[in-house]
Amino acid sequence: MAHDADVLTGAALSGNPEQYGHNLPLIDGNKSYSQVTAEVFAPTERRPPALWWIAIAITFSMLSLGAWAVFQTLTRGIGTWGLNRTVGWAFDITNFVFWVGIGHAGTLISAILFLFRQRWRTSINRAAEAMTLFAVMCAGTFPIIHMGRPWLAFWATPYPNSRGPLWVNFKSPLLWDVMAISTYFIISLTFWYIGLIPDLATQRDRAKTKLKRTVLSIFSLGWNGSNRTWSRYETVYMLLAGLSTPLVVSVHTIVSMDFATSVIPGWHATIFPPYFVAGAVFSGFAMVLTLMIIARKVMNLEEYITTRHLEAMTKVVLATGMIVGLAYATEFFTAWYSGNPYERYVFLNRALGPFAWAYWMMVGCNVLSPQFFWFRKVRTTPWMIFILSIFVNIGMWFERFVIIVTSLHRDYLPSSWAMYRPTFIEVAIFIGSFGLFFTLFLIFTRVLPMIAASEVKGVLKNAEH
Amino acid sequence: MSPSSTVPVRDLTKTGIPTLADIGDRLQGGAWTFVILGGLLLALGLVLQAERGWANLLLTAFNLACVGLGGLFLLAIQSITGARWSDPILKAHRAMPALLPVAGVLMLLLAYGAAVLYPWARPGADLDPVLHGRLAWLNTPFFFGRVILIFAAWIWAGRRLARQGRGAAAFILIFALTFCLANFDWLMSLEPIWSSTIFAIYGFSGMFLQGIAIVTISAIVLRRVGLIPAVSKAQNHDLGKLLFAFSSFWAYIFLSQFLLIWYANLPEETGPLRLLLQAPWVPLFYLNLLLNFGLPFVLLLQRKAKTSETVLLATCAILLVGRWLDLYLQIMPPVLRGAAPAFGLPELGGILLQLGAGHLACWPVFMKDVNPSQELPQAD
Amino acid sequence: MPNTEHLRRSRFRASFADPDRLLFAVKHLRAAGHTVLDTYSPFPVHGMDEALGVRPSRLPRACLAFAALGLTLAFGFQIWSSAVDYPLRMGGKPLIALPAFIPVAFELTVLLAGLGVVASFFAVARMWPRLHVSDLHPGANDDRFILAAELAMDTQFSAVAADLDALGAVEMSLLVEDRLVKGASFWDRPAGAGALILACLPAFLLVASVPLFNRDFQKRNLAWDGGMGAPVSAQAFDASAVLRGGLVLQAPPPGTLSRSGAAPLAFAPGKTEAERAGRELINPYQPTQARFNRGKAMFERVCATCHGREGDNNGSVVVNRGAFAPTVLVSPLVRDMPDGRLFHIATYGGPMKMKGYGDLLSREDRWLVVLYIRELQKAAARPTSAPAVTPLPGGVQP
Repeated sequence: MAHDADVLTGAALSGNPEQYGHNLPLIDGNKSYSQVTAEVFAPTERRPPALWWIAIAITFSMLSLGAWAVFQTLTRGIGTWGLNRTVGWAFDITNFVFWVGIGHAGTLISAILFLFRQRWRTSINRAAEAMTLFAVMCAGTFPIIHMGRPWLAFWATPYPNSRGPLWVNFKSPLLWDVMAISTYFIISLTFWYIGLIPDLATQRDRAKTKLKRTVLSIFSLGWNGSNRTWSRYETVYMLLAGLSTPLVVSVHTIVSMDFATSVIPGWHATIFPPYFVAGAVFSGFAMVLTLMIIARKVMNLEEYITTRHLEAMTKVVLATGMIVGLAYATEFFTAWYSGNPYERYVFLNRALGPFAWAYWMMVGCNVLSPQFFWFRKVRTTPWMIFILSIFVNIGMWFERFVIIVTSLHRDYLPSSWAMYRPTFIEVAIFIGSFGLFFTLFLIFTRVLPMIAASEVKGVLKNAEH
Repeated sequence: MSPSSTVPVRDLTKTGIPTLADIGDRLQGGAWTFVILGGLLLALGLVLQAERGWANLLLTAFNLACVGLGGLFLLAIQSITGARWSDPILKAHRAMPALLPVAGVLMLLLAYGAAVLYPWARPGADLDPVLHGRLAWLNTPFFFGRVILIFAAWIWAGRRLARQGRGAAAFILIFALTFCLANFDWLMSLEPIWSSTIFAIYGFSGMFLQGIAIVTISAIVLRRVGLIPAVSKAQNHDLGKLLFAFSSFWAYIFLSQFLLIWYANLPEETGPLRLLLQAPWVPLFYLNLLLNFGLPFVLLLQRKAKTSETVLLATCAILLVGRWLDLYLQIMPPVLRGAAPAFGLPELGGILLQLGAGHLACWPVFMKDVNPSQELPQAD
Repeated sequence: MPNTEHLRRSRFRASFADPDRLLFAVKHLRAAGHTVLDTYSPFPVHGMDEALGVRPSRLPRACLAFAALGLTLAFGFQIWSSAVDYPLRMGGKPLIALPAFIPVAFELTVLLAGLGVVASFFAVARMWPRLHVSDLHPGANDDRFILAAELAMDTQFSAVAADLDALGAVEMSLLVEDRLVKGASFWDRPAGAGALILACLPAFLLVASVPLFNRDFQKRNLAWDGGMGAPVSAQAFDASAVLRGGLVLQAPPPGTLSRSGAAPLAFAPGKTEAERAGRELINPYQPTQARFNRGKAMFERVCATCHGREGDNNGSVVVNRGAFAPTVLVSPLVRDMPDGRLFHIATYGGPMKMKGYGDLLSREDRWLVVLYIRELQKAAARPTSAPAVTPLPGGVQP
């Protein structure tokens, strides 16, 4: 038990910081506990500034545009998209994989870094987990719209029905995907909520209005900070972290299997599962960086999300970027090595064919741009990180586009070759997904504590030693 | 850390446990015997059944290289993440890289047996319509040129890392590229028609798991002979968690490869797997899963088990056997061409050679590192 | 019920500004014989479990049990549904394709383990939604580290207060009322509502699972997906509501030409038209061996099922099924009909039951069938040998 407690609070380190090799303070400014409470909860108790209203006006407009485009799709049909018989998956599935990938960082930061005792996670895990939830929500909309008749989406679940003995096909990767994404969403939500309960109790105690107090009383489940509850809470948190770690890996693995179980050259590659997971971590951390750099600036949280936090994340981005680059190289090499003419053609077509611009955009953004993170100066300068993280986001979107579209548009039969270009409706839905994501995130920053106050207080003592 | 959470230290003066140097002296003779006997058995195997002899030599060389790389990789990870908690208890990984030159020599010996092992090295391979296109990459001079280059890179980067403690990131870069090539070249090309992009990652998962198992054994043995005053339960727990995590990682990579090949069922891709799923091999296929994932998973699931030295030792022993079997199953089916698996003199020889060479190469470095006269770092 | 002795033991609270002081105070109070009930802090205080003597939680076991349940359910359900209840072969995979079941089994295992352990946690820690929570220990969620304890026997609070003051307590008070226990009682108001909901859960699950176990319910359309079992759909042979005359297959518009370009036949159905055809049409084909073979093949394929291979009504439909017997082709009645009339009947059907075969046989084939019928009639008139084996005497093309 003692050890779990060490892990959660980092308190073990207070006795002997050198043992774990972290003796730098995690939070700047030598803060007291009540100062942390006041500063973390301040955004939820003030009226939002004008900047926030401007931001949410923009993101809500984007969301409305997306909603209009979805309405067009549903009323006029999938024909409003640029898909054709050869390229049956394009923008929609690209966006789906893109958002699922972004949704990986939150749980990764919460669970894996927790298990590895990387205590710098405490300042960013709450926001990153929220980001995960919003990203998975964005991701989930795309396959559902793509169904054409989304009101029948429940057909993908195994439920007793009156169509005779009829069950979903458990051998289909698309069904695995349904299961994986929904499980991931539910467990991430649970994990996020469990982590939120102590802070909800603090917020409840600070609430001024009766309504706010009642709502927070309901959601904080009567939390009173009792040690017996803390003890169980730590156990549950540890167990959830242990469960989420393989879960987060499994989700993108299963997404990759949507492609890799097929026999399409360029899709069927055994490296896809780990390669997709690495790519997801890569893009997810880039998105966390993008958001955190804005949030810490706008909300004056620089002392909580320090440049050391940013630097640690850039190292993860660099490492996963290298893995992704290695996977590109492996695929190319193996296509040549295998001698399979279809495989060879697909990869040559990626690099030299009509979508070569997308391919080189992907290589440039994903493999070349992270190389700047070798320099310490870049790793510790927020605006440089911000620019590079945007590049990584773009590159990872193009990676999915390249994998999906270039593999499909040159089929086995030259007679069925086709090109793909997105329609305005598709682009609008994509913009709308960003609108949804940022709108939810902006609301989150004003409604709930963006930083896990109870966890930050736990690592605060480190600063005093 | 409260005293209750540490493993008690044995009083050396009372129990009369020999010092590390004594153990080393005693093992020295045995190790030489193992090496000589192993070499003889392998040579005998070459005479009796050339394929099995060469295949076991390949297995031995590859696994020794993997042990060395496992040590280096741990060292690099430690250096990059600044995980200094492991310093007091992990010792063996500094000694393991000493095996790389030995493995390189054994690997070069294969030049004499390439034609037995590798279909593309046989005379007439260029007439084979399928192999013909691959000979630009798979031909004997280029192949052994790459062997030399790869080992040179490993030994160079490894020395830099182990002796000067520099270049961890550079090592990982070099390692990633060369280890992929090594796996593709040495193991995957045994069945040259086959290719699997995940193959090198699969090799890495087994290699790293073995590395952790070896350092865990060494940490526990060092504690038992009293060279580490006390290993806290937390540190045992960390080792247990690492073993658990990477055993699961191995299973994940295994499943990724197996499931995708099984699902797509492409004729040119199923070759080695189909051999494994045939009657004489299939028990070994399941045994491999059991040793590398099933048993460690069950043994280490509980928190209590992860802190128990006995359980850790047992798990590591299982994992080492599992690693050998895993390599055996990667090498043998294509070499034996559908014949039943066999365990006999060449296999025994290969194992003896690994054990003996491992001891002889690593022990001096190890001794230097854990010199008992040195001031011991305190674990607690 | 607590006895009087217990009632006299009063409870007190002390709060500290620092977790280390709290830990020290707890150890001190326990050593002095007081009972420390619990501590309240904004984050878990390391070492407090040992100081309070709290046992390690058994929640991991609950998690394992739920995981095992999830794994079993997932594999069991997948095997049952894919191999027993709905055995559909898919993608060349076996019905019980275990590797393909691994992903879903894994997801469900994690799902059940995660939700199960959280539910267990809420149950054992007595956490459920409450409309109102009183702030029993002000600052426990902010920056205070609070302990609640029971005074040891024969001790005055003032003595303890002096102790606590020396230990660095920033605030302390004697709690007259035992509010701790009351606050955590299972039967207070919001808990009652929660318990009611929990009690309803099994009943709800039972109702929800009825369709799963009782197929009759589904046949009677009582499954919860409503009217999907009895769809309102068109039935075969229903009259069309939209097409002219209710006919699904409409006649082509007048003047429609065949795609092969042959001119339409200048005859309409009906007996008078048949007689006219008999007068006006002559068979354009002379008998040859090839035409004989073709006519025989067509006759046996299309006509013989009713008329019989010899034209004697010995066809399988008539003999085996007892269908309405058609006109005997080798009878004098038919023998006396002209070729053109037979051709018309073959095209548009007979006067009684026969349907027209103009859509099935080409115009040439119909004429060849007529030729073959003539051969059958000749053979029937000649009592000696069967026509089918006799080569045509006049098989020379003029």
